Order: sequence, then C-alpha cells, then structure tokens
Amino acid sequence: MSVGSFTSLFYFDIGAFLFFTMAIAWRKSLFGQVRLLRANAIALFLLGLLSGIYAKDAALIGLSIVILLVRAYGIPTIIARAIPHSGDQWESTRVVNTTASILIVAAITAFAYILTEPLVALNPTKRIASLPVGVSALLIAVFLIVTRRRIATQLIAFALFDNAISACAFVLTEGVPLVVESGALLDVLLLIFVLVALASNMRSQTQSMDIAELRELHE
Amino acid sequence: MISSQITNPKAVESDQIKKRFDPMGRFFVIMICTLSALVAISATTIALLAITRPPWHGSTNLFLAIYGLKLATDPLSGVFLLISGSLGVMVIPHLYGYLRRNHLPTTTVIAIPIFIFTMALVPLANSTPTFFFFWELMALASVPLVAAHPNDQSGRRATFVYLAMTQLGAMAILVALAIISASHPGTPLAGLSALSSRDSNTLRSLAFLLALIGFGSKAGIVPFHIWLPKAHPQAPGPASALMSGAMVSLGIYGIIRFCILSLGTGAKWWAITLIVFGSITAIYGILQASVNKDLKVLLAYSTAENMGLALIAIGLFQLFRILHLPNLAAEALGAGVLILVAHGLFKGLAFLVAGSIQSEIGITDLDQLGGLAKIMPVSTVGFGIAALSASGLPFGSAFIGEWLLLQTIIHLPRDIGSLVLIGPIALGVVALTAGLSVLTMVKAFGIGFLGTPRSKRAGEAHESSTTMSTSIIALMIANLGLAFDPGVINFVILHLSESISGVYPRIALGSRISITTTSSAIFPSIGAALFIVGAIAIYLIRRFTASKRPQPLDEIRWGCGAKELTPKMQYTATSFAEPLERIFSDILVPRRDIETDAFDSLDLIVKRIDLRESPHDAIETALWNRLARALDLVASQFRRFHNGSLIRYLMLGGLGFAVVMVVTH
Amino acid sequence: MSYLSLILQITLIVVISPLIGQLMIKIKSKAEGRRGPSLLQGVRELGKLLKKGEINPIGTGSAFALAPAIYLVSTLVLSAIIPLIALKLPGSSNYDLFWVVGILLIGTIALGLGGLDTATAFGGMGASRELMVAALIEPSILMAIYALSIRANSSNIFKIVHATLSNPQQIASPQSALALIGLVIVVVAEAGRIPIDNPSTHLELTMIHEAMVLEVNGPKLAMVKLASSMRLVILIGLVVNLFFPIGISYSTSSVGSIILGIVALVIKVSLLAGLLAFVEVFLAKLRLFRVPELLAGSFVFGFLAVTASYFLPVIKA
Repeated sequence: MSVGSFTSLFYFDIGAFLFFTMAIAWRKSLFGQVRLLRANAIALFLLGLLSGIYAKDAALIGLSIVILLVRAYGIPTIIARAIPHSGDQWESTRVVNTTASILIVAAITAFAYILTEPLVALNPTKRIASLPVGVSALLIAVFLIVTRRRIATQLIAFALFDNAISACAFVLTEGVPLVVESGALLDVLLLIFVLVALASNMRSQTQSMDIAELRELHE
Repeated sequence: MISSQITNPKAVESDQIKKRFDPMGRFFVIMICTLSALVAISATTIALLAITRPPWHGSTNLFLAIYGLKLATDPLSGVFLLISGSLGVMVIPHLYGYLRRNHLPTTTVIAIPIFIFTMALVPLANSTPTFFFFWELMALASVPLVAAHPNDQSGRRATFVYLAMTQLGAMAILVALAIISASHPGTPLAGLSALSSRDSNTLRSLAFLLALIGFGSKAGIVPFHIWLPKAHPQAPGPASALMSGAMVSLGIYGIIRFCILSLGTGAKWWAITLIVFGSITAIYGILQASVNKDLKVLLAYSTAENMGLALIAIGLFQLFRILHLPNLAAEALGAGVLILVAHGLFKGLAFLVAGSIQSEIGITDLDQLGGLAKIMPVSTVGFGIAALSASGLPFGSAFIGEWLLLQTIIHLPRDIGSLVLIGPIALGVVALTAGLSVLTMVKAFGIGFLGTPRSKRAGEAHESSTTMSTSIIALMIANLGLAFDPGVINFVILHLSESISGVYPRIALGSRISITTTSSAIFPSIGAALFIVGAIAIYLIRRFTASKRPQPLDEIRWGCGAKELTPKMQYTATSFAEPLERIFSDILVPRRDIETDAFDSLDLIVKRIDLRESPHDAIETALWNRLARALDLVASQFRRFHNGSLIRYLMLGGLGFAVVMVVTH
Repeated sequence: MSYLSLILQITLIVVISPLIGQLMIKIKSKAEGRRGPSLLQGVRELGKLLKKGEINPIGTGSAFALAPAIYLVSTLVLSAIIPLIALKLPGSSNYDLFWVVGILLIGTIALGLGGLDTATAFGGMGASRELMVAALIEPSILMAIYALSIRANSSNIFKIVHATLSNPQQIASPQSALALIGLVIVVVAEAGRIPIDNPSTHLELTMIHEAMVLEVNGPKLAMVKLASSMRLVILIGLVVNLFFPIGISYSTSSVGSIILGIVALVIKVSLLAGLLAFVEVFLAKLRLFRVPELLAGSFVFGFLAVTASYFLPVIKA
C-alpha cells in the first residue's frame, strides 16, 4: 500500500469515525444510537486494520479484530439490553435541543483543532494531522454524557469515549500495546455490565429510565 | 407612539387636523432646508477634496481657548464625510416635504441643520479635544431629533434611553481619549499611530476596550444597541435616514480611527474581539429585525446588523494588519467601506420611504399596512430597491460589499494556524445574516406593500408629495448606480487603502468587480442583461401563444370554501416570522401569553383562546433593566447621605477635599 | 460556436427537465410497486396548462402577475451561467458561485412575494415557510462553496470544475466528501423534495412550495412547474459537475466534444436524480420544525469540510 493511498484511506476512515460520533448526537432513537455506535466501532476497527496492514504488524491486526468483536459486537449488544423493548425507545428529554447539539458538536470540533494545534505542530506528519478528529470525538462523548438523560445514551457516550481514546492512540502511535488495550477493554466491559445490571434493576423497580425522574430514588 | 395613536382614535383625529391646518411656516422650512443643503453640499465637496488631495490640516483658537480647534482631512475622514454629505444632499427634498406636511417641535426642526453640520465636523477633527467636542455636539444635536414627540410616554422614554446610551458612550470615549492623549499630548490624530506602541499594553488594551464600548454604543453594537429600535420610530423619517445612514457609521469611523489606527498594531485578541462583537451584532440584529413588526423598528435593527457586518470586515482588517498581510487588509477595509457606503444609501432610502408612510398614513406597524403598491407606486419601487439591497442580493447595492467580504474570508491564507477557524465562523455568520435579511426584507416588502390594506387608513392613503418622491427617486438611482457600477467609488477605496496600508487593494471595481489575484469576479450588468433577454423571450412566447387561449377571467381567490376573503385573513408580519421566532426562541425569548376560556371546569370545550405574543429585546431585559435596577439600589443607598443637614454636607465636602489632597500628594 | 453551445445548454435543460422530473416519479412508482405515469406526462401537462385560459384572482396586483415570469427567467439565467455541458461558455469569467446563490434566491423571493400578494392565508403561509427554509439553507450553501473554492483558490464555478478536472484525485478526500454530503442536503432542500417538502402533496397544511403557488394557474402555472423542475435539474447538474465533471466538454470548438458533454450530462443527471428518487421512497417528510436540524447538519458538514481543507495536509498521490 502506498503512502498516499494509505493516508487517504486513513483520513476517510477517521472521517467516518467522526461522522458516526456526531450522528449519535443527532439521533433520537435509542436503537438507532446503538447502531451508530456499532458503525463507529467498525470504523475504529478499520482504522486499526489499515494501520496494521500498512505497518505489516500482525499484533495490530489482531488487536483490531479484538476491537471488532468487543466494541462492535459485545458492548453495543449489552447496551441494547438496557433499552426497554416495550415503551419509550426515544430520547426526547434533552438538556440541549437537537439543532443546538449539532452546532455545539461543530464548535467542539473547531475547539479540538485549536487544542491539538501545538501537538500537531510538534510532529507534522500526515497521520497526526487527524489527531483533532480523535480529540473531538472524545469531547463529543463528554458532551453527550453531560447533556443526555437516558441511561442508554449515557452508556453509549461512555463506550464512545473509550472508542475515541483508542482512535487517538491509533493516530498518535501505531496503536496501543495489546496488553494495555485488553486491560482497558475489560474495564469498560465491566463497567457497562455493572451499569446495565443496575439499569435493568432500576427499570424493574421504577418503570422509568429518565435520570431526572430517578431523583426520588436518591432521596 | 404608534400604538397609542391606534388605540386612541380621537387623539389621531385631532393630530391630523393639527397636521393639516398648522404646518410649519413656509419661510422657516425653506430656510432650514437651504441651510441643511448648504452644509451638506459643502461637506460633500470637502469630502471629495479630502479623498483625492494630499492631507490638509489647520487650526484656529476660535472656540476652544485652551486647546484650539484643530482640523485636518485625510482619505479616511473624507470617506465618512462623503457618506454623510451625499446622503444629506439627497435627503433635503424629502425633508422639505416632510416638514411642510407634519408639525414638529421647533427645536427638532432647528436641530436638523446643526446635526448635519456637526456630523460633518466629527471626521474632520484632528486632536482629541476637538474630536470629543464635536462628538458631544453631534450627540446633543441628535437628541432633539429623537424628542420629536415630547408629549408621548414612549417618546420621552426613547429620548431618555438615547440620551443615556449616548452619554454612557461619551464617558467611555472620554476616558479612552484621555488615555490616548495623556501619553502624547497635542499629537494630531493622524500622527498617533507611530507613537502609541511604546505605551504599556494594559493601558492600551483598556483604551481599546473603552473606545470600542463608546463608539460601539453609537454604532449600535450589541449590547449597546438598545437605543436604535427606540429612537428611530420617534425621529421624523428624513432625520432617521440621516441618523441610521450616516451618524451610526461614525461609530465605525471612531473604531477605525481610535481602536485600530491610533492605538497602533495591537494584539490579536483585539481583532478577534471586533469580529466576535460584529458577529453577535449581525446575527442578533437581523434576528430581532426579522421578528419585529414595526417598519421603523425593523429597519433600526437591520442597521445594527449592517454595522455588525462592517465591524466583522474591520476586525478582519485589523487581524490582517497584525499578521502583516497588507493586501488582504486593504481588501477587508475596502469591503467594510463598501458595506458602509451601500448601507448609507439603501437604509437612507428605506427610512425615507418609512418617513413617507409615517407622514401619509401615520402608521408604521406592518400588521396594519398592506396594499401600498397600488396607491404609493414610487415609494413601493423605492422600498423594493432598498429591500433588494438590504438583503444582499445581486443587483442590490449591498451585494458588492458583502461579496468582497466573503471573498476576503474565503481567501484566508492557510499558514496562520488555528486563526483560520475565523474563516468558516465568520462566513457562517455572514451567510446566516444574509439569509435572514432576505426573509426580513421579503416580510417588510411583501406584508407592507403587497396584498390588500389591513387597516382603513392604509387603504385611503396617497402617494407622498413630489418633493418627497424626488429624494426617493434620487436615492433609488444612487443605489442602482452603486449596484451596477461600483467603479464610481473606486477612487475612494484606492486613496483610502493607500493612505492607511500603503498598498492598493487587489480589487478591480468597475462594472465588472473582481479580485485581481484570483479569478473570482462578478458582472452585475451582464447578469441584468441576461434577465432582460430572458424576460423578452418569455414575453414573446406568451404573446405568440395568447391567441390559442381563452380570454382571461377575474375570479375570487381560494379560501377553503369561504366565498369572501377579508384582509384579516392575510398573513401578517407576526405570523410570517412566527416559524423563525419558534426556531430561535432560545435567543429571542418571545413573550407568549395564552389564555383559554372554557365552558366547563374540565377545560374540555374551549370557548375562546387568547394568544398574545410579542417580540422583545431579551438583552435589554436581561442586561440593561437589571443594571438599571442595580444602579437604582446603589443610588438609594447614597440618598441616605442627602438628608438636608448642612453640617453633614460640609463635613462630606471637607472629607472629599482631604481625600483629594492625600491622593494627589 | 460558443454562443451556440450556450443556447444548446439552455435548450437542453428546458427540454430534459420535465422528462427528468417524470423519471423520478416513475422510479418512485416502480419502487413502490406501481406502474407510474409515462415519461411524457410532464410535457403533456405543460402543454395542457399552456392552452388553458388565465384566471386573475381578484385583489392581486402586479407582483402576483410578474412572479412566475421572474421565477422562470431567473431559472433560465441560472442555466446560462453554470458549466453543464462545456467548460468555456461565453461570460464564464463573470459569475461565481455566490452569484449563482443570489440568482437562486431571487427566484425564490419572486414566488414568495407573489404568494404574499395574493393576500390569502395559503400564499402567506407558503411564502413564510419557503423563505424560512431559504434563509436557513444560506449558511450551509455558502459553507459548501467555501470548501469548494479553497482547492481552486477561486469561487468561480468554471475554475472550480477546471481544477477538479486537472487534479481528479482531490475528489477522493474527506473534505470533498463532506462538502458533497452538505451540498446534496442543500439541493434537496432548495428543490423542495422529501424530507423538506413534498412536491406531490395535496394537503394544504403540509405544503411549502405548493401553498405559495396555490393561486397560480394556466400558463403561469406551466411556467412555475417548468422552472421548478429546471431548478432541480440545474442543481443536480451543478453538483455532479462540481464533483464528477467527467465528460464535460473542455472547449466549445468541436461538435463531437459538445455532444459528448450533452450525453454525459444527461446520463449523470438521470443517475443522480434516479438515486434521489429511490432514496425518497424510504423517507418521510420531516416536521417543519425539525427541518433546522437537517440544515444544521448540512451546515456542520460544510464547516468540517472547510476546517479539514485548512488543517489536513494536501495529499499528492
């Protein structure tokens, strides 16, 4: 694979990664959001695969296959279980409305460019030029955690956050070592397990998953 | 003022009778108009000399005994003199017609020539004391223009708000000028730029911010814009044309002269501050304009929008100066100046038409106008051209300036780091502003002039007098001239940018407008020619096929089965802007009251629903009203000291004296 | 020869637009399992309308009378200033994309004012909604233009198309893809297709464009219908030529290359129009107050395209 076509494919893929991240901020259907998370993870997998093929690194390819299995299949499937199969599958109560969310997401991307400018300037390679994309995905995930109320979306945002960290790692280096990556994966998996267990438990008790309405549980 | 006229028909009657039988004396009006014309003509002449001739300066000790009166001309002052002078000349016939028909307080009428005179002197001032002297004179001369309806509650309030904002701005300007001149006493304004950079940065930044606030309050920069929508409906039409077209631009003159030229190169954040304030003003101004339903309030907010656009251009100019890109800086300045010149012409025209409506109908509320196209053809065409220009569309005069601004933005160099983000953000702002101004102007024109009259008085109106129409026609021609051949002011741009940046901008202005280094160009006349060819073709085809068609019929309109459609069933300005108001409700925060009257206690069957919705200025309520209350609170605390006891006053005086002595020691 | 090709281009657009419009209906019908009307139905309808007598609604003025003509003329002008079949058309250096947007808006405004002039609730409602959509499209469309003009260093359409032709791999970049998505949404909104507006609706309350022209009839309606379908074809043609200018004639001197340009344009436009129609089958019209979400999305695409063009290094394969 030539440098030119690798960079071009890499850009496209990380662009798709960002697109799916942003689309989660737009979608209201919870199942739609899960599907987008899946697509997002697949883009991440392709990112790893591309880097692996380009660097002829078998470990990296292996790692990306792990990503595919856990992040594109495992985590979204678990999160989907936190969504009530009957009843409210829409995320209609938001702190920030959709149009504003979309514009804020754009502003976050611009902000990520400013934020990473010194880093990119340090080592102006073509691959690192896409670092802002990874960072903006990270910030968007934080934004979603802050402004969304449904537990499922928060879980999705959390998984997104993890994906974004891995994307940054792929951009910055040839990828995180397999051990570190698998450790992080297990953490996230565990956390999501706990949250899903909690969520389904709470749902069976309160019939509702809106954080605002859960305040009474706290009291 | 307007609403009270509507709700109080008797007052309206008596007002009308007064209008008809007690006009201003003919001799008096002729004298005022001649005086104004003389001032305006000489201002225009000086402006042309100032732009084309080498700088001139002179001084006299006539007025200000200590400092002397220092005057000078350079291309920058010439540009602004040209805007106010030429607009002044074209407004005079309308002024004559307006004064002949409407009764105004004598102070207001006398203030008009003085106002034009002081407006011409402001850009000529060559020392900080002279400048401030003229600035304050201009501000004072403009107050009687706003106070044209002193017997009216809202009129008095408008005067008060205007006076307060003007003086707040003047205070900020005074401090800024003090800082500037303290380090360089006696230096002429034109020479300040070379010296200023040796001052401390904090002091200069303070002076920058204060000058921005001061001049921004005159230019209607958000959040200092609140006087615009209050003052303009009060002032008589020709006066608001002058205030909006010329006086407000002088705020931008102050920003260019002091914030940019006098204070030296400055920091990058200065430029970014200008762009941010410009962007906020442009978007907020046009959003308010799009939801307001009074024609003059709408035009006032649109003035704020245009000043915002000009400020974006000026901010880009400053940014490029700092980045040492003189060519781009010259283009940005050229764009800013073209926006201001065009704004003077089309806003002058729009306010004159609004003045004609005010004088002939007495209503400027769009929800009560309509159908004027059939009864006031000249005014309608005039407003159509003004609206076309104001919406920044091809064949309008504002298009050239906005096009140059867009070109400046899209040709940002790549190598300025994250500052390039200014490009897409500024473009987004300009584009949204342009889109919304199209909607606003379609609303103003479509609701106000098309359709059928929404009130009896609008239906019975006549075209304004020939003298008034003369002004409107003159401004129409000026607008079209600028739109089709902006080459007429090419010399202005060239001299200006040569004197300020030392380079000629790479703009070729003529009937074909292009940026010479790129291949971007527009050619309005050819575009218009294509339209004419197309129109002729369609006309011929229609003529050719007409014989094959049955005769045309007159039929009633579709009303979902209703036979008669009343004027009340038309869309109004309020309903036209309602979707927009809903979309931008987070910014506009419209006031909405819904009252339902139900037959039964369960609210199941509703007898009647009252929906009352009115746009209001959220910044005014959120910022200024709160500020006013806070000030009130502080003032009431101070009142405790004013208990009338002479001993206490003496003691306070002594204390104050002691403090001053200690501090100065 | 160059003037001839200009006239050829305008005529081509006039002739094929009713057919392309009908093609879209046909494809939608087929996809929904119906037979659909014949491809010539659009032409027949125009002919029928031209033969009908005019009805002047009482109370309307000259704005209503002139609006359809201005709408059609602005569309004809558009078809003369965009490189659709050839790169070198007379006057090509005198217009740029901002001008094109302005001319598009003039047509919209003319119809909007015509709607307001009817002094009916429907005219006003249509005008209000159409203008609102037009106002909110503006940032998206200008941002897409910005993204495109960075690579050609000019906003002149002919120059942009030329730059694409001489350096085709530029198209395979994320910024181009982003700008393309943004522009397609803009085209859909500007042409009033699903999910923004439904051109075949018969329910007044959901109409945007059709409400505005409710009073227009006879030959004037023919003008509006023709112009609307022409606008769709022109916009689609603009998008395909900005991104895939394959086949467009370099010069106007050889007859063969112009014929090739015509054939290429017809094929490209039919393909994209067919694709749009096919996708429409799966979409429903958006609520009016969700339209801003879509337009904000298209704005963000443009914004990212511009940022990416500035920040991503240029790839030279």
